[in-house]
Amino acid sequence: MKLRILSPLGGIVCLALAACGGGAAPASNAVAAASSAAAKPSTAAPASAKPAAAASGSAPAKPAASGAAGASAAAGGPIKIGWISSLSGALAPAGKPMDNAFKLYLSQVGNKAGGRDIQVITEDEASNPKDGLDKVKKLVEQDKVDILAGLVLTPSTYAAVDYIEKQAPRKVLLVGTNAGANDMDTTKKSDYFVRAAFSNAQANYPMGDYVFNTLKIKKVYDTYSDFAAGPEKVETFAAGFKKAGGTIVGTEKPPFPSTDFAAFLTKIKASDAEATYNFEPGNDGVQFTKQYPQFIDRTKIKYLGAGDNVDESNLPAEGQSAVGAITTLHYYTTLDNPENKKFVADYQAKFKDSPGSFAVQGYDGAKLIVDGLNKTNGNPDPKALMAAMLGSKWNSPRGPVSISPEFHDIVQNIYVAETKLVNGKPQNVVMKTFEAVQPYQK
Amino acid sequence: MISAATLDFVFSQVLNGVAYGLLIFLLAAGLTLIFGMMDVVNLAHGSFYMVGAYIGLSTVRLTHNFWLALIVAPIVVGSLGLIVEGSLLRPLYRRIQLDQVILTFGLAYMVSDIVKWIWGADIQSIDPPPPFDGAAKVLGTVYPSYRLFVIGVGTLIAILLWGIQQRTRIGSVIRAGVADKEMASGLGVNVAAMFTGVFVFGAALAAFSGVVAGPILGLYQGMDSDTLIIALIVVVVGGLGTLTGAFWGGLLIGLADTFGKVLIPEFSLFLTFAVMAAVLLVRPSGLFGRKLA
Repeated sequence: MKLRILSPLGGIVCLALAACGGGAAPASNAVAAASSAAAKPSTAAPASAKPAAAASGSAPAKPAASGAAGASAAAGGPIKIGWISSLSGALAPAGKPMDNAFKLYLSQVGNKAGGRDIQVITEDEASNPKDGLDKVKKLVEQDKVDILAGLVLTPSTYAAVDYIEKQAPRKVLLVGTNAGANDMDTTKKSDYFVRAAFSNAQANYPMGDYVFNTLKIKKVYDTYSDFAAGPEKVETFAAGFKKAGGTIVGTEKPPFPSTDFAAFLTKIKASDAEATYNFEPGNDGVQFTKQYPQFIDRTKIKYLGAGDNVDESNLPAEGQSAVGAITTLHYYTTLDNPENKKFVADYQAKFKDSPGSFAVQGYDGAKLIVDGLNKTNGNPDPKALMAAMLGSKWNSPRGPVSISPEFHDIVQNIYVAETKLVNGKPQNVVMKTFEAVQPYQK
Repeated sequence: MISAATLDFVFSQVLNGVAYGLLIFLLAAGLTLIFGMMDVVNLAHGSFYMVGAYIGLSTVRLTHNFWLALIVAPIVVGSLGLIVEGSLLRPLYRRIQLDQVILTFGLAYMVSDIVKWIWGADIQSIDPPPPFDGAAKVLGTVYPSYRLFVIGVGTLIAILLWGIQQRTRIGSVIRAGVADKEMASGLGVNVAAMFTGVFVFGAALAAFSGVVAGPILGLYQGMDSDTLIIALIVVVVGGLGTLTGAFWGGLLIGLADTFGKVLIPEFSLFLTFAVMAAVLLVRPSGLFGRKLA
């Protein structure tokens, strides 16, 4: 008799643990993208001097019998880059383009840097920090990579840098290509972390003043997904907005991930806000944007927010529902400069899709690594590589950028765009450019 | 006095809760029947829901017809249920219950991977079909018409199922089987056929709810375990094997979830589990479950 109640309860507990722990479906460990499944790193062949076949930017299935353990010292062997992106789960719409463009850049330079071949070992962080940190540890301890790069999630980046500083058996440099964790510029700044993406505050803080003084909106309702990046973006906007004189009439923090925002949208509708300021990443952003016009009249409460919500990776799924949004970001596909025209064309040719901000971050991250290795003659030692990277400047598809020695982060233009229908398809049309914005502003 | 705006707000949230509650009722109904009848906790139930949703997605993509998807998905998944029951579950009926649970659990893993292989890991959604793709006025408040449609469909199915259960021979056979299998068998009921029938029906209903939920909850990796957990909660709260329990349990959990998000968003999931714990403390067999002898 007791079994009748016990087994469903047992089932619930098991599944709840699996779901909460894994984040994605139980079976996602068999993820296709991870070549790592086959890697038997602990039996990495020691002294055999076969130079590893240069991987054409794709992850190898066998551990290369190259510079073995302590690879950084082995001159001439391939450089192993441990690359982590979200290839499944709620953030796959961001992680996959980032992955595509990272490898696109490497293939454009022939998968070589500093006179050595580049070998990329790809891992999936599955849109959750537990997997992210596990994969970081695996890449450093088992695959013995020389450099780490990627990580879509902000909490994973904090955890990864903490791990490198305090627990890792060898120090490696982590080149961040997304997570805009604010503290990485200030209190958690590290000798082992440099970022080619953005900081969560970078775009959202100046937007506060813009919304109040240029858009003339006085009352805003904040909504953001309840995980680290949410408050870092939206509360920073709120700080800028309040400083300019605006009022935040309410804050909603839907859990991450969520698919149904009915309860929150109903609350916003009942308020006296003139606009909402939103950030929901990946699929949450798609669902939120699609449900917004079902509950709220956008002529009464405008949709403002972080450009992530209407990024190119989300826009096709959102369609009409995104039209009318005014957002801010460091990159929009429609930017008019020669580097971007080439980048968009190259990306479309190879992947049959338009690149968004995540793609350009992957692309720039790869470039930063390659340029850095060229300057150090192929030495991936974190101190040498960091010194080579800091202060570098180049023209990215997003405009002129540089890596700030003070913040170990990228200085770049920030744009404000409105989503409009152009030839029947929604597109982000840039209205304003803020030039050379620092990642951290008081 | 309570202002019109507040009433409007509460009414909208109640609608939200009822819509979600009826969705999970549809899912829990199949699960509770399967459990009540066959003593099998079908941990692959979420998989039926997921496969139904994805088949609905493909049907809509190919034919641009949502209504067709509502018919095709249950038929396809019902057939899959038939195959699963016949080939995988039936040999295990003589074994202990745990064996069947483990089998369905393994099946869930497999199906999840197969779905990812066929449809990919990207998150998808189904657009609500016209004429339900806009907003409607309900008692003075503006509300998404698709959710009203969900409430309508859910209520209709609830009435239909209740009617079948109470008023038809099939219904009484099923109620007899849930109450006491051995006795029903002794009275000449073909228990094996009933098992198959209930399992197939449960799978088809799960698929149907997958398509209906598509425009609201979306299709993504992990949707099978997310929905299974909620369905299990509803079944436990409502009582094992009773459709009435699945209905009221669904509504209760749906409202708890919605008002949890409204009042204490950081703890909305906690509130759902707290409601479950509270119900079990007061009525250990669930709201409408029979006290087991």
